[in-house]
Amino acid sequence: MIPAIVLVVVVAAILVAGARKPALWRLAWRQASGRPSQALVLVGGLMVGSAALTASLVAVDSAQRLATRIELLRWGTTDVTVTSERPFPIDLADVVSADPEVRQNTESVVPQLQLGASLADISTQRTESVGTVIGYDAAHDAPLGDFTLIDGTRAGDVGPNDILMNERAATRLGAHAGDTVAIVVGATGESQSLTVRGVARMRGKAAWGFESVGFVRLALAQKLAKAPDAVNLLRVIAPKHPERAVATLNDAMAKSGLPLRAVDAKRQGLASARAQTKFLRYALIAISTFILLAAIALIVNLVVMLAEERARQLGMLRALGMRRSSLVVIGAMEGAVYSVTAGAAGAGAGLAIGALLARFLQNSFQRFFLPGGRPLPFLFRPSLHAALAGFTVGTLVALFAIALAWRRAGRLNVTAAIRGLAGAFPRRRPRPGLTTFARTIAVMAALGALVVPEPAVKEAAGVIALAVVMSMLKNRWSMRVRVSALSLGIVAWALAAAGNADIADPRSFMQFFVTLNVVEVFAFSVLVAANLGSLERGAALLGKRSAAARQTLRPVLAYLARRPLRTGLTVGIFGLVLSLVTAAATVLATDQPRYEDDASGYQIVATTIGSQQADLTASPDVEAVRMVRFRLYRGGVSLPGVRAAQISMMVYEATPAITSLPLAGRDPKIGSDREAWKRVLDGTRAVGSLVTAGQPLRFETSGTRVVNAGFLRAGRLLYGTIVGPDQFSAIPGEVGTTYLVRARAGASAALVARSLEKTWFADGLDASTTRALVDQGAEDLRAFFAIVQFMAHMALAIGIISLGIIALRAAFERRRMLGTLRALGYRRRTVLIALMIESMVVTTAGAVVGAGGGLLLNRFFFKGGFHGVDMGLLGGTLLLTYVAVLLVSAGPAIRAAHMSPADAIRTVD
Amino acid sequence: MAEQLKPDQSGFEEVVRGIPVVDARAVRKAYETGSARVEALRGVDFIVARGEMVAVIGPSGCGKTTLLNCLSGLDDIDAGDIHIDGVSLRQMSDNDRTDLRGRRIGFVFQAFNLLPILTAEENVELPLLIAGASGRRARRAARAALERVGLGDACRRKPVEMSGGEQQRVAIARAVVHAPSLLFADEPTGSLDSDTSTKIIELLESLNADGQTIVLVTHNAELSRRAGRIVRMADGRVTS
Ligand SMILES: Nc1ncnc2c1ncn2[C@@H]1O[C@H](COP(=O)(O)OP(=O)(O)OP(=O)(O)O)[C@@H](O)[C@H]1O
Ligand SMILES: [Mg+2]
Repeated sequence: MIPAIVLVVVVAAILVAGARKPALWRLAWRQASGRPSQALVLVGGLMVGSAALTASLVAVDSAQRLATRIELLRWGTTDVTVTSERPFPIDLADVVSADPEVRQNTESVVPQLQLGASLADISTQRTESVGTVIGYDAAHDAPLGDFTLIDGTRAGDVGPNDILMNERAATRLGAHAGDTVAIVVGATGESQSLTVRGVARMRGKAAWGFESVGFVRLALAQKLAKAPDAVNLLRVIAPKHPERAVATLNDAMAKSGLPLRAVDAKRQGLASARAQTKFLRYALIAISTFILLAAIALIVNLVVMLAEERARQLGMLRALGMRRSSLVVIGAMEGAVYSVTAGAAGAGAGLAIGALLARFLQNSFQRFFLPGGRPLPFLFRPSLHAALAGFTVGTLVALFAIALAWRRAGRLNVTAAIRGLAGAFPRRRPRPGLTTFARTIAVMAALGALVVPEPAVKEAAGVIALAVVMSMLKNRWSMRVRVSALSLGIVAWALAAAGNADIADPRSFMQFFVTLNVVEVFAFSVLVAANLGSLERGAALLGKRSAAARQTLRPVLAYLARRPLRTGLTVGIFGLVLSLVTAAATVLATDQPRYEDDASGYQIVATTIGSQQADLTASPDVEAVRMVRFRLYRGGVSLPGVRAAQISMMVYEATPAITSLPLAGRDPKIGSDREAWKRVLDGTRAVGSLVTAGQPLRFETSGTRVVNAGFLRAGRLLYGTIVGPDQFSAIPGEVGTTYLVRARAGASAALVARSLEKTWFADGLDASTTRALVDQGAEDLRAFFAIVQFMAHMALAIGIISLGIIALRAAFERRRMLGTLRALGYRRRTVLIALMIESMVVTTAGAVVGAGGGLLLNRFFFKGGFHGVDMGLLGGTLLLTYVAVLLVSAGPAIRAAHMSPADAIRTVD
Repeated sequence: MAEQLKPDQSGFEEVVRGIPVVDARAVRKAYETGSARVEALRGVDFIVARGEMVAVIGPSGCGKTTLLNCLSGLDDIDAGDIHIDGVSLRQMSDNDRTDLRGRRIGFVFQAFNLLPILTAEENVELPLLIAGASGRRARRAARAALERVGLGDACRRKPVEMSGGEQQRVAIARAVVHAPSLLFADEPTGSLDSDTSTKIIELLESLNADGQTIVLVTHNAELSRRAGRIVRMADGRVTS
């Protein structure tokens, strides 16, 4: 909103200034439209920001919409739930729902019996060991509506020996109507063979938690659970005032002596869905920030170039009686024409890219929620809101960058400009009083910010403080030494800050990560720019050996070295883009399957639900087995930033069987794996997913709170949370067993897994190879990271285009110089090679700054979570960069080399 | 057309008739580039009366261009003072000096310095538009000025489509379109052949005959001979 107002005001001001001086308008318009190809190039560069921002916003919008939609599907018409580990008499449920207060605040209360069970399809021989069976009673269930089957028909009741599968369960089992399915209820070990009545779509009551669920008659479920006339779940429809429903239900249950609590499940779910998409939101915004910053550098670069090229014309306008302010107005007008056009075009392009991103997200949601099932609804909407936001911010950023660069035009030295001298844009002399004042303020701000807990602020403060110190050393050290020391100091500071970072909140995490990367790239680019002179000297040394080398390198390196601002900016653009790619490559490295590590030496993982344990060592192919008990916890879980989301999760019991497994990403406060496991056994810590190391996790049902100590390196084998024995017995949920199996040497893991499943089919044993699990995990991650990868590549494309633009402009701008060189006897080939070398030098500097610096930074930042980088991505990217840069800059270089010297020299500017 | 070339302010000429158009005393100007310091002007006195045509001659690098730049307020001076129509440049703000150039001074540069993006006509209108004249008036004056320099039919052409001599004539038209009281011309025939030079010389003479004060820098013996007065410079000083 505020940016929109600012934009309107700024553009209006420019229009008003223009309306008063139509002559300026004409000049501005002519400048903008006079050279269409140049205008196109500029608009292309300016578009980048709006496009990236719009695309990200569209993608995040779609993700949020999808997450919300899934959450709604998950709960259907159920708003409030009451769950109980222990079944209670259905009569009590009826009493509670008949309570006048409850009746007034709810539409209906539906009792069901929910059981952890394994499901095994006899026909397909596939099992789902940690599934759910829900017993329902058609009479009570009526308010929840019928099931919609995937063939489009509806189903209400099922037969006494039927089971209705939801789509997720059916996909897992490969089940079809008519198949025979054996279920084993975990709590009692009771089993039953049933006929699949049909497959229900994942919506309404069938979607329950988006888990694998089979629906059976309530009477059957009660029999299997050995709980006659009992239920353990109330699904409450109360769309209007769920909070009142919760309150009255709690009162009514207390009156009836039920020690249970109602949960505002749907609303909590929606809130947590929003919280879950937060990370994505900030990740995408962080990436857009990178792109935006690269775009700013590109814009400033282009405008500075343009101003230099036009210096003579500008000087002449001043000579003809144009005031400084009018010159700036012309720049602003031209900038407005460009940036508004580019903002609109960028927003349009952003919508298209956003649609693509939304597809990626769709895929990863599909994998997560309904792998192999019917496609989830595609919820991309080209939202006007996103386009407007992208347009506004992109345009403003472009205008700002143009203004920044154009300020120099106001300082134009008229006579130098007309004579075409280098000093057309003199530096402004700082006023001493002002400098001291500014320094004092900066130091105070920096010191103040150093104590602010926000890490990004702290980082910025350090940089300011360093800069001030360096500016005070003005008279002792030369500019080059000071700037170099400053940039090295900043890099060291950034690395130190990265090493101490310990942030859970996704927003701060992203802000900090972006700040660090930007600071690092900025500092290194400045370092490069300040030391360009050494390049020239290096070339001179080289030149002593070879005249040809000197001849080729001299003009190019001199050109780069004399324009530190522009060279630094170009290096910065590449640095930013490559540091983004490096970050992506670092993150992606975590999804590379490392079978040895990730399986910790086990080939097969099997699970059964229920307290019975299978003796897998009875199989001749099994060498050793470690058994871990788990509970299937269903209920609220609170994590930082997410309050009490209703989920289901495996909770494992830490026993000596597993406390030797190596950890990854351990909390830095804990010295060793051994110590971490000791604390887990003590009951203060846990090992597992969901939260990062050092973050707390609370099981709402039992009030158990644990702080994460780190992750299992073989995280996929025991997917959930590992807690100490005391916590394990406190946390409710059906018991089951996970078997980590070491197969006999030489045996095929896949075959052994099949045979284990067959042998213990009656127990509903479900066995997978660890290889498959690791692959699966890697693929899930990859689906999610596809979007990161895509954005990184988009940024790269921008970087390459930028360099292309800069190469084009550089050749164009130097037509006269190149022509002179040619006239002096430079060969075509020499000019060509010289220009190409120039691009290569800049690209290499950018690669070192971005990839090298990025690697260093990530190593510090991700600490234990640093698994190296995805060399495929980074190496491929670097290769691609070089090839693309060669191709892109070849065009302008060839053109420049083939220009007739006479034409080049005659060029009027 | 003669009317167009008269200054805007009526009665202005009566008031300033007695005062020299240019009155420069003890002007000093040095350029500093890094450690090197070049004294381009070392105490120049230079007075031009109304209606004069003065040629400044001297060896290359003696400070002729610098002098013109200082007289027109394009460059700041280090010492001395310059009065244009009786007003001190030193006491003016940058904007005042800019406006002075826009109203009362015309400048022909050593290189033609036309804006490549504009047509001949548009280049010529520019000073009037900058000074805030209406589009119609500017267009009429520009046509008249181009006609005056013999390029009435070349209005729509862009500088790249013109020869050096034509470009220089456009530049002269642009320098006089707003009827400045003073015209500076820095080597107006510098890069032209003798035929074209002659045309330019005749053009300047006819402007001068119409009452235009002209200060020109030249290496062209023909041109300096036709000037009413010759000022010689050497090494940053006026020698005669
Ligand atoms: N911007 C500048 N920076 C440094 N030195 C300058 C600059 N402009 C001019 N000079 C120096 O000042 C002196 C006078 O220069 P100026 O251009 O006035 O000479 P000129 O008489 O016009 O020469 P020419 O006849 O070759 O045009 C020269 O020595 C020149 O090198
Ligand atoms: Mg000169």
